[in-house]
Amino acid sequence: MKAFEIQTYQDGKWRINSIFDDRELALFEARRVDESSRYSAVRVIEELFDEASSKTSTKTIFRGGRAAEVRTVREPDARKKAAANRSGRGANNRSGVRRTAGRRPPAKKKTSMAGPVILLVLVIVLGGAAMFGLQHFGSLR
Amino acid sequence: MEKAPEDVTREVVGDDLPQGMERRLVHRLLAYWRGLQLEEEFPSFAAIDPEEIPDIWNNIFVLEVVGNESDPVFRAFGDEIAAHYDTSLIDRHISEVPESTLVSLSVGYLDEVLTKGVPISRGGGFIKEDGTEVLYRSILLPMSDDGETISGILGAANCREVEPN
Repeated sequence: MKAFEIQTYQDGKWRINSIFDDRELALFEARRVDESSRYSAVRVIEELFDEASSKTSTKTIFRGGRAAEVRTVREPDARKKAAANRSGRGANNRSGVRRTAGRRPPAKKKTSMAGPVILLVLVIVLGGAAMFGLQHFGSLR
Repeated sequence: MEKAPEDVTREVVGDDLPQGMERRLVHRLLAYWRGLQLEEEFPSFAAIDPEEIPDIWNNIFVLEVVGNESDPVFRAFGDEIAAHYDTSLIDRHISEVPESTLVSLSVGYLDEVLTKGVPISRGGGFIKEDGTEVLYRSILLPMSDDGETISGILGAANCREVEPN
């Protein structure tokens, strides 16, 4: 047995608005309710009752213009948690990148320290050589 | 447009009322009932003006619930409905209506309307005494004197005979 339940979103929760056993009737009525802008959102739930198993399965077959927004509003905590997890993971990843990048500068520092030392040694050697040369050529006169 | 979730099926619904007089009756009366609603309260019988719904008034019936909760009483019938019975059903209880007839089937889900407090429409078929197969559609709408407690039901039904092959 099938039933089509029009639900409207009011005061922070979904409420049954009307019930039909005819899909076309339900969809038409849902659109009319949606267009009335009386409710934040409208949706139609199709309920299928299997008499053999006594189980009911449900499926949303229509969502009004703002029903998708409402679905996310319904679970603000979950969304916040998810967002927090996402941002947390992101922050970790980003800090991880920073940490990885931060390990490289010491190596660069070693490289940058070697240059001046070599240059200093070179200046001292050349300076010494120049002084030696001047003394040497001066003694020849 | 935002992508719909996977469990949602989008359908295009036409501008015109659904095909068939049975469905049109339901939509017309439901629209009228919604128009009588103040906020989310149940409309009052006093607010109904038959001249505003002349095309469906003959298919309407009224049930009084208050004081007869276990077996509500019929207080009014449109001519189309009344024509299905040899004797008047006015002031008769639901339990007195002949079984498997238009009215008895049309109020068969009354308990669900009283429990959920929302309009419900159902349809189906039955076989008349002369063997003719009949398809029907009905709707039950909760009404109230104070806006909050259901005191009665505004119902409507119509049917058509199925032509034998």
